[in-house]
Amino acid sequence: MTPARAHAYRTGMWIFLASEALLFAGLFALYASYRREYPSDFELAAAKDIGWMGAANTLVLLVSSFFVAWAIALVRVGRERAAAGALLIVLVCGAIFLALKLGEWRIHLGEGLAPGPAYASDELPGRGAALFFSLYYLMTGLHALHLVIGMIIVGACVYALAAGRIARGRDLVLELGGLYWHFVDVIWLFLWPLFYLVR
Amino acid sequence: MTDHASHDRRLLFTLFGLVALTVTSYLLAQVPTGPAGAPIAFGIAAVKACLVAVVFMEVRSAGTAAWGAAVVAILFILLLVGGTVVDVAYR
Repeated sequence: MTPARAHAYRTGMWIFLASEALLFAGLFALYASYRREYPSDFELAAAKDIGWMGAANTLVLLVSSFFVAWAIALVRVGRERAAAGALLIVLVCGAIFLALKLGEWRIHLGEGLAPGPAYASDELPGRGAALFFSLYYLMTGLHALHLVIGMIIVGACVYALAAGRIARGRDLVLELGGLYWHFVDVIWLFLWPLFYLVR
Repeated sequence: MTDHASHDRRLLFTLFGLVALTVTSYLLAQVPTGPAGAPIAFGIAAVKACLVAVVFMEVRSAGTAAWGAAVVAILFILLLVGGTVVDVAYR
């Protein structure tokens, strides 16, 4: 592949990630406007989110981003097997994230903190709290979907490494997949304070 | 030290920095900071995002168009969120 073509692919990936960021931006704007309208309901609802789970998820994704970046660095020096090992750790991190997220959803649903019309909490009966949790499931669910897609991409890269299709000097696919994974991490970096930290 | 080893160390130190910022953010959220809570939390998130973008995503070597896409996206996000908040505030 020529350097010009590789540059074009990288630029295209960055433009795609920018458009994906705008998708989440609309939801951030929605959250901001409803928070403005129901400040105390949002504050009470946010207190129901399980702090340690959100923090653990943040750390897990940061560690996974490190291993993605390290995998790319390893491929660039011809250590393809070590890179595949690093990407397997990324998949484990992704699985841990999903397990924690689904576990937290399960806890919330058990307390009646469900999305939309299924919301049924006596502890937080306000409309604002119901809106908070609708946004919570929508935004973290959309993020989880992106994470699953990222895991499929990483898994494909592991296969390509094993098959010799990704190697030193032929690592653009891994680089582009890595950009997507880091994007998923960056989105969570802003979702975490939104739903867990801002009281 | 070889370039590769130097790069690996840079990745590792960035991870340590990100973890430290995460812990800081979590601890600060436990103390009452009043209206400064949101700017502090999102400010730290922005710093972490910049670290990921510069070190892990290597945005500096991605070219001017990539930089442009990232900057335009950030500007549009700020416009969208900021404009929506102002609109709701003055209804």
